[in-house]
Amino acid sequence: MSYSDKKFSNIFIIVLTLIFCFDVFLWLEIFKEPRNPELDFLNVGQGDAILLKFPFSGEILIDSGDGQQIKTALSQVQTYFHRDIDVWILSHANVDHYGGFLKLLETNPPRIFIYNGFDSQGESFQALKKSLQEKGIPIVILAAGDKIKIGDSHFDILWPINPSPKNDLNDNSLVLRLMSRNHSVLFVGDISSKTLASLDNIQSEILKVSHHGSKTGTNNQVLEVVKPRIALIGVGLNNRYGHPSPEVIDLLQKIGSQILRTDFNRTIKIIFDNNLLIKTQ
Amino acid sequence: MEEISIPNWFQKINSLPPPHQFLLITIIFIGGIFLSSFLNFPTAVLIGLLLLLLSSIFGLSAVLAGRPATFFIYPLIFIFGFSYLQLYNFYQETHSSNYLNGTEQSRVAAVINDLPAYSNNSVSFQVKLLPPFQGKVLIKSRSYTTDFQYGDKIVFSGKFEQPQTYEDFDYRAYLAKDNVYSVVYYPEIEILEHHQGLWLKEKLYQLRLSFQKQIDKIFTEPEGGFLSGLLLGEKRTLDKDLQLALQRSGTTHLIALSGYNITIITEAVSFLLISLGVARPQAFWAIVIFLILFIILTGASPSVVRAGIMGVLLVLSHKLGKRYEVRNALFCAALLMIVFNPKILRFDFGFQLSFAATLGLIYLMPFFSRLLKADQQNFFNWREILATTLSAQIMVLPLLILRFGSLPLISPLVNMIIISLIPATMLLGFIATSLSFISLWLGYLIGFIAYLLLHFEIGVINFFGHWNLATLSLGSYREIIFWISAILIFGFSIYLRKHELLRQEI
Repeated sequence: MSYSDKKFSNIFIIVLTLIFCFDVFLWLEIFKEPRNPELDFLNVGQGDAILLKFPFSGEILIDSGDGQQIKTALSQVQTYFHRDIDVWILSHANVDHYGGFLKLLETNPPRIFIYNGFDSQGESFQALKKSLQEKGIPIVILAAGDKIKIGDSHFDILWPINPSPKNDLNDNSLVLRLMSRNHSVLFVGDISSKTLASLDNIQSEILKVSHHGSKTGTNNQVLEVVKPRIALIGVGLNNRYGHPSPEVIDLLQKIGSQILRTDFNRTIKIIFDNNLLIKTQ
Repeated sequence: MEEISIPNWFQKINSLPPPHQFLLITIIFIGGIFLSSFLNFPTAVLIGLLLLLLSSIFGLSAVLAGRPATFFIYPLIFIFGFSYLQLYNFYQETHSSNYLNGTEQSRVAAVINDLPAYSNNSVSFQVKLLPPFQGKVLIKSRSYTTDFQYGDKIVFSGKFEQPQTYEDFDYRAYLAKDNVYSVVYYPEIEILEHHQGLWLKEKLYQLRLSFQKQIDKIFTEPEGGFLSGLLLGEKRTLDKDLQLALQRSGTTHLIALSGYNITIITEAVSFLLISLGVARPQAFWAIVIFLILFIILTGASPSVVRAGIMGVLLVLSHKLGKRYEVRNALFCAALLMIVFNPKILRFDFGFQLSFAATLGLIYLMPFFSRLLKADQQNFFNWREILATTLSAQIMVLPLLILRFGSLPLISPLVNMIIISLIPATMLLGFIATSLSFISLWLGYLIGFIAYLLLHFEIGVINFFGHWNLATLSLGSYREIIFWISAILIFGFSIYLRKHELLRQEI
């Protein structure tokens, strides 16, 4: 092969590779939309982060972990060209729930930010609020009685009431109940079992277990009312709090719940079809 | 008078041509520094004086007996190197903040003189204390949003401590090589002014930071973190799992910016350019420009500058015919760097890696090129790249053994698979990020190709890194194996050199 022939063939190979990549990209774009609503319980270590995908209607991120693993976790459930999330919901202003929002804000800000209105005076939370305001992102405060409608699914906000009788940041966690394709999911942040048990209409198929499985967040009373078929716990492997508490695991096993936890199962994907389809890593 | 015959070896040394003499003198000088680095000041003074005495007696008696004066000079050079390190240390320590260790100080004024390193809600940065204090101190602080920048003038209050020496990592020596002798953990800090550092350096760091932010924007994780490591040597954004996998698969050097990877990447880039049909002279200049840009982008830290110099030398080796010229240039560069800061010889792992890798490429490349028949036509020159990888990897192996205490068994395999892709990855990543300043979507588009490459590379590293057999832990045998491997490889290189010279003569 002559010198210019070799040069030509090398360029040819490069161009071919580029065309191939572009082709892959096009097909990925076509297939990116899920057909059914999907719940991705992300592995962010000791913390909560849940990504909800609604076909052709948008995506919601409830909590975001402490920030260390959110981007890696999201990259496992999103494609390269489809990283935008429309709505961020913060259950309560604890850093192991909003840390990731700080990380994501620079690169992929949401269109709306929703939380319970109870601020932490900490430096980082104030910084988060300031950045959201500077970027012109509407901050919406929701309370019991409010609803969020997305596609043919909807959320009912069950807590906190306005004005709230509780002083604690944890105990004012947003409690949301999602109804989607005849399945129900209860998100409770880090709320105490006492407060949770006092709420109406909390019976749900899937329960995001309160406070990473700590015994302050779940008791017999709560489980007798919620009766979850599936329990989701966001915990870090060998975390220093001893979460989830063995008592809570016991209680869940007694009522026959399927326990899925991020320290063992990593990221958990639940697809809402006629039945629930569960995929773990 | 009785004739004492001049030993054969001495005659040989004396009759060496100047370039080889120069090398010998350099090695002796460096040898003196090396020995000295194991001794503390009092012991060194003792031994130094002893050596001086012995060589004086020996040398003088030799000269009196009619021997040439050079008998005396070589030991003197050794002693000179020996003393140089001690004097350098002495000077640094008396101008350091050593005297403050163990005390609490209030409202000490200082200027941040290096790039702050962020990780997990904490930040660490080096500061130069202002009068009436002296010396350089490492500060570790909490940071969610407080933006500490190079050139900030601060006042801080806290406790000065001597850095700890850990079991498998001499943190104290690691900091000392940069002449930092104190650490302050989580002091109260107030920023007084900005822009108190060097203007050029500040601009460079700003450039680096905005580039880093842009990478974060374009890429997902862990691909973005890996690219930051490749392009900027930035480790904070890197997944911990991935960090472990990198170490176990013997690919940490890719993100270490120690110059080891710069050396290899320089080789690979030049192959890429040549295979694309760029003529050698233009390729040479393109690489020099690439290296300069690279050094600028990373903020021109000393280790990168060193690596860059070695990289240029390596590229020169293609231009210059005679190998000993490049070898001497390498040793000359190393000598200058060591004179500037003699502690890097023993305590700067990055320097050692750069030097060893470049040396490997000079000495072992010809052998492996011939062995693998690298002058044959092949797809993207994979044979040449394999030869490059092996040459550098083998020369660097003893250092890796000594440092990490384990033998990366699959490292050559993993490196071979990945390394030919790294230059393209870096180039595409760089182009994508640069373009994204103009148009985000253009950046995404080109970045996608880089993303695919990064994804593949990370996949390979994770796959191999998680094997149990990936590394062989050497435990307490690490030092023995280090010496054995170092001697074997050194011997092999010398053997090759003799062999090569013979072949050339024929």
